[in-house]
Amino acid sequence: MNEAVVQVKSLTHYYGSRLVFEDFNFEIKKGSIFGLLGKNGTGKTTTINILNGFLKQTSGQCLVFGEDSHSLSPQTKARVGFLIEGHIQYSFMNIKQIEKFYSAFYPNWKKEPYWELMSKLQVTENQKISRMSCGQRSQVALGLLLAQDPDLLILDDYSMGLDAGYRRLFVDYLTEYAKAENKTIFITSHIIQDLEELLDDCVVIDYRSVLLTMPIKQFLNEFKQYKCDLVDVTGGIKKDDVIKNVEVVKNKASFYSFAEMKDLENHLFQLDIKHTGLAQIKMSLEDAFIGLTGKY
Amino acid sequence: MLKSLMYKEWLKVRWSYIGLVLLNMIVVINICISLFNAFKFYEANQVYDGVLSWGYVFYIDLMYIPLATGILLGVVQFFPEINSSRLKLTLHLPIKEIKSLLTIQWYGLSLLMIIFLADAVVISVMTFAYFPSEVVSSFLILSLPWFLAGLTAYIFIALVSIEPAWSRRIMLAVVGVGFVNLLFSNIISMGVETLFSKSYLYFIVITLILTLIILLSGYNYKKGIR
Repeated sequence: MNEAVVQVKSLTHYYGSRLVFEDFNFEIKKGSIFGLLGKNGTGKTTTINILNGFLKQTSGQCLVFGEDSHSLSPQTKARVGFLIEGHIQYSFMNIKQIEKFYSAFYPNWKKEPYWELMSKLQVTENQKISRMSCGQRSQVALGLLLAQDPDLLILDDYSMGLDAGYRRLFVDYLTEYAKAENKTIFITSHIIQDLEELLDDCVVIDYRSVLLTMPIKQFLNEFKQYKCDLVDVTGGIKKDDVIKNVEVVKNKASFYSFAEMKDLENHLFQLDIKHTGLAQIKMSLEDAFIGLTGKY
Repeated sequence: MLKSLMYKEWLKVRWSYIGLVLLNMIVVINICISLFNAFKFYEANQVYDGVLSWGYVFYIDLMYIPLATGILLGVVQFFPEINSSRLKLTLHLPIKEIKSLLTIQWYGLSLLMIIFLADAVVISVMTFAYFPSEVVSSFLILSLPWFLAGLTAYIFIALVSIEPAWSRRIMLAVVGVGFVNLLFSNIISMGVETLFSKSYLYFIVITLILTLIILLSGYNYKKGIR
């Protein structure tokens, strides 16, 4: 269970002189669903491109099933399913042709889950992918991934362009697949709320830095939001080791912290921030993500 | 697996390919009809004189058809791969990238060569029916650079498509245009049965070497070198 399927070690990447991230480290354990969370432009797709060997990092190392991601053997590639952002597929094929095409490449090909999904779309076998809606195309891409039966699924923003129904369908199938078959999933999405029930572990990245890497339950349990009324709003409140983020609107303040309430209270006292009615607010994953990364 | 890769390429290009076959057929048939009419409406001596003494190239309509065929097939085959980064799907298949890139390219080159060979055979047979074998030889010598231009244009379209860096894309496009221009300018300036007939072997060798550059562009694409 503790076998690492993906190992990212001291990963640093620059586009020209622009730093994307530095000394990025994480591991994805076998059988876990791992989320890479970050705002737009923080390097999620860059990380996925490096992991799939489509971008050479400036420094550091990425291992997939113990092989360098830039020289994956065909056998290892067969164990990795890859969803390109936007559910891109060969749109000049119809759904029968694309199933026939991919089946020749994968020894463990299971056509049943693919055709099960296609039957739900109520399309004919001759339906061209280019004439399908974004939601339908996402089901084709998902069906092909499930038929491939990979040990590791890498999904780059599966939610792009999907309405709530298709997003839910996607997550339901992924959850069932991962848990039933002990598969590993690495996923990014810009819609954080969908991932709360799905993820086991996550890494949250911000511009040029990694904010945290931990199990999702631990993140939701330990990261807290507190609200209070400020007595004096003239002085600014800065982030520090205890206050990970703070938002002030008029005299209402929201503090985001890993500290317990009494520890935060003491910290505010030491900083001479006078306040009343400090109370903890329950957060969803999306609230916690925004709390940690900020709204801008 | 390679068979499946070729199946994908066929599905992608088939309608355009049929269109290109028809285009070549129409041009070749038109050349045949024109020659047939020449013998019908003029004395045979006059036609021979025009072709043998005055160097009238009765198949000149073919000149830019292989070039157009190569460019169009290249566009139809490689633009969908680059559009929305579909090439990533191909490179992610459990097969060595070198194999998949060369298979895709050689499949396209083979499709082109089938058309070009058909063009050459039909015109040669028709020419042989009316003229001595020297005229057939001069047709083959003169038209070979046209067919090479078609293959070269196709190769450069592939290179320009796959190459991720715009600076190198522009450089490849300029080299491609120059190379194709060279193939046409030689025959135009020197005429039929000149020294060029001895040098076309070099052009064939260069064209073959060019097919390998796709591996470099593929490498650049894979590493995200921009």
